[in-house]
Amino acid sequence: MSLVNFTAREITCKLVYYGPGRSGKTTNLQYIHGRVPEQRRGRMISLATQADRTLFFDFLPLELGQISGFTTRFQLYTVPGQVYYNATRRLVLQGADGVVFVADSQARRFEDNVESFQNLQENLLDQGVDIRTLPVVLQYNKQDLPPELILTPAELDDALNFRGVPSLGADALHGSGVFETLKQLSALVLQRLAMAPPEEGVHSS
Amino acid sequence: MTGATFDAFVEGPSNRLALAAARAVAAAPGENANPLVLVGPDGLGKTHLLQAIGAAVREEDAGRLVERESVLGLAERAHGERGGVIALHECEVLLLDDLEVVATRPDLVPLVLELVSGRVPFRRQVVLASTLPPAALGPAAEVLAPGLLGGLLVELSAPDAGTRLAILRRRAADLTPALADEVLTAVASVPIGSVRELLAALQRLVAFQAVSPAPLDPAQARVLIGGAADPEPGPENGAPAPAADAASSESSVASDLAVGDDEFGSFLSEVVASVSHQVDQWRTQVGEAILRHGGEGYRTGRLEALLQEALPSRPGDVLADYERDIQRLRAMEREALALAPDFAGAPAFRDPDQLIQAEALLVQARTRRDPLPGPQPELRLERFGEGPGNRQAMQAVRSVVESPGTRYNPLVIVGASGCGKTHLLHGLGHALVAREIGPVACLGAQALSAQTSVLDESTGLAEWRTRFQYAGVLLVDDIHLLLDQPRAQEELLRLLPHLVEAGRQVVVASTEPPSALAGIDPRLLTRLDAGLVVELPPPDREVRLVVVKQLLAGTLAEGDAALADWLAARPADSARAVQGAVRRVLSAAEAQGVAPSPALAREVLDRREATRPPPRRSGGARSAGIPGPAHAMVRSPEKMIPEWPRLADRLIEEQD
Repeated sequence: MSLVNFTAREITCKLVYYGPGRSGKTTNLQYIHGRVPEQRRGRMISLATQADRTLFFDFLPLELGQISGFTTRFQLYTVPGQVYYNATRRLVLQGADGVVFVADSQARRFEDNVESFQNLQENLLDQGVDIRTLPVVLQYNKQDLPPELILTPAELDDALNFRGVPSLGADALHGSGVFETLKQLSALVLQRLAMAPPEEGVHSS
Repeated sequence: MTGATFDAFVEGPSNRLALAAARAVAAAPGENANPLVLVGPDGLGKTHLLQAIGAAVREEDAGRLVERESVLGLAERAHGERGGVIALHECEVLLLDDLEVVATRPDLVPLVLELVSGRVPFRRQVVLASTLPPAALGPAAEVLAPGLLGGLLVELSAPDAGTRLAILRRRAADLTPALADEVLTAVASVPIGSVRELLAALQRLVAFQAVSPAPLDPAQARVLIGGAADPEPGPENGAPAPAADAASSESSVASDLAVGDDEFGSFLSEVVASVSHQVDQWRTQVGEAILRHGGEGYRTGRLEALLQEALPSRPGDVLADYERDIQRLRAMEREALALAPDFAGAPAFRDPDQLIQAEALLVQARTRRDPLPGPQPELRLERFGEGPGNRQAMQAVRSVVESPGTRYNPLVIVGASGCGKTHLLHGLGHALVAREIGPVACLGAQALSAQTSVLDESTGLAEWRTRFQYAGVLLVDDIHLLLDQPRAQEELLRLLPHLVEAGRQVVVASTEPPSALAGIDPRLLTRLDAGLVVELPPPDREVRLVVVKQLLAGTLAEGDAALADWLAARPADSARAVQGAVRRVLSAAEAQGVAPSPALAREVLDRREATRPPPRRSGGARSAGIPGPAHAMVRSPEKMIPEWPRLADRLIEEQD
């Protein structure tokens, strides 16, 4: 996927929200969708099951307008968290410019978080992408739950964040940390525009 | 963006002294304030002043050697890279940036001290720039102190509001969309301590304005760059800020682009700043490259043109190409100066848009050391006999002399051995040397084979190729001798299209036309066939007469028309045969102590012919045109014609 298209004067960033089922990925997108002015957002596409679980993926396009002469678009995707939708996750992950890993802070979901994070690394590796080279932000969601039910961001960092990527607590339902996460990831992704040599990061087509 | 000149430097109370000192140094390097030390925090224009000094010195006298280097760069130079340290010692003006590095790199202190102490006593200017005053350089301060003694230290401090406004106005004039002057005034009122940060803030506002549906107002602008919405009262904010329109401001803040509590607006603001910074980073890189290479004396027109474009396509590639060309120029200049020191300061070595000219200079330098094989001095076109038979070949040669590389390229001269191919080739070479169209390389096929067979990639083959690739003219004799010489054929196959496409003349000589040459790469033959193939026939009577007269000139027989006619009338397959006959007559005359005459010539040549064993003939011998048995032949030399002349020659003789 093209990150910067100098010929068409376009910047397109594909950001994928990844994580175990019911961790709050779709909630993140819904919150963003609700805060984006109508003229700047596309239609949020969500394919859900009867139980309101994401069946395929959520897609939220954001039109950020002309920035420095470039038409700038962000495309936000979620993956289905359930284990049996791995083929879909791999598909959505293709060409991602950055990943938000939405972890469920509940202590009982600890194993699910670890498993999903490993699954993320494996799926990236299948596509020839080393997770160390991809902008990743860890979001520890549901930090609004009673403390006795959840792990603190520090504890989750110990389990998941051994590479020291940006991480932050969030309450996606009420919006806390949602835009901060998006900002963090956007900054990392956009930084790569300059860091990447022309043939790798700044594509002409 | 303009280049780093004094005119482009915005003067204010905070930098006035530094600017004056820099101008004084540029006006008379080595005479005033030596060394000059510019001290100030990052982003206040120290590097700009260094560059401006270099630019001014070069503008005054382009031949002056100015070197700019950072203290960190000294480490690389100390290892012999980028021209080494010698160039820094020998230049007239040394501009040394980032002196503060010595505080953390004590190993570089002796190098800096040696440079300063070794130059100042000889009135060679040194200008240093540092974010730290010399006294704050830690242990290095004490070591460097003697070297800096007697110099001038001037400080640059943060620009005041008036200077900031002047800087903003100058820079904003180059940017689109335009910002209102009251916005610039409002931005200038924010106490930003560095010019670099100020320009970054301006970039951010311009980028934000580009996506904003309404013009930015001063209050928004101040908030966007991190200041308060209302200008703080005080002497620093002397510039009057326009009254903010509260209603308008509130309306804008409520818009989706506003900053403040709106989460998407805040997110968008950061993305805008990030994208504009990253996308426009190439401008910064190009600007820095202009400063750096301009200071080194290189032409930067290509980069300046790039900056004029609003959104150039793949600016990184342009910059990379430019840098690559600079490296190439450096390498060529270094090699050329080692071979020909008088090439120092040649403009072509400082202009990345003149690589071809620079390469030509390098070839000149190489040619001086290892000249290309030229034509033989005695073989001149003026001495080449022209007659009806070779008129076409001569006409082709004249055309080549008139329009080398354009009309008949390549030109192939075909003729039997001794017909004058070599003479014509070398004569053409001399004529082209006189045209001054570049070095003329003239060599035989055997020399070509000998040279290329002993060279390989590790023993100078590349250099050999380069020497010949930049020849203005390539003349190759006896190309038929390249038979079964694949190496030489391959090199010729490389050279031929390169030279022909570059419009440089190639001429080859051969005993056979290309289409009839066996054992030669067909690709080479087709390329030769694509040019003009002219035949050089055996010399006719007129040509023979010219050859005879040339040889008789300066002897007792000079002017003996009867002898010359007699000798020219004798049929001969080649000019070489004519020369041999004349020389035999002259030699016999000298031996007998008599003047050469037709009688002597007849005696010498006809006797020789009579005593020569008759050539083998499959159809029996001939005598005066009367067939008969060999034993019955009349042996009179008067009646013997051992070599039957060509029909044309015989007819001409009969007409005489």
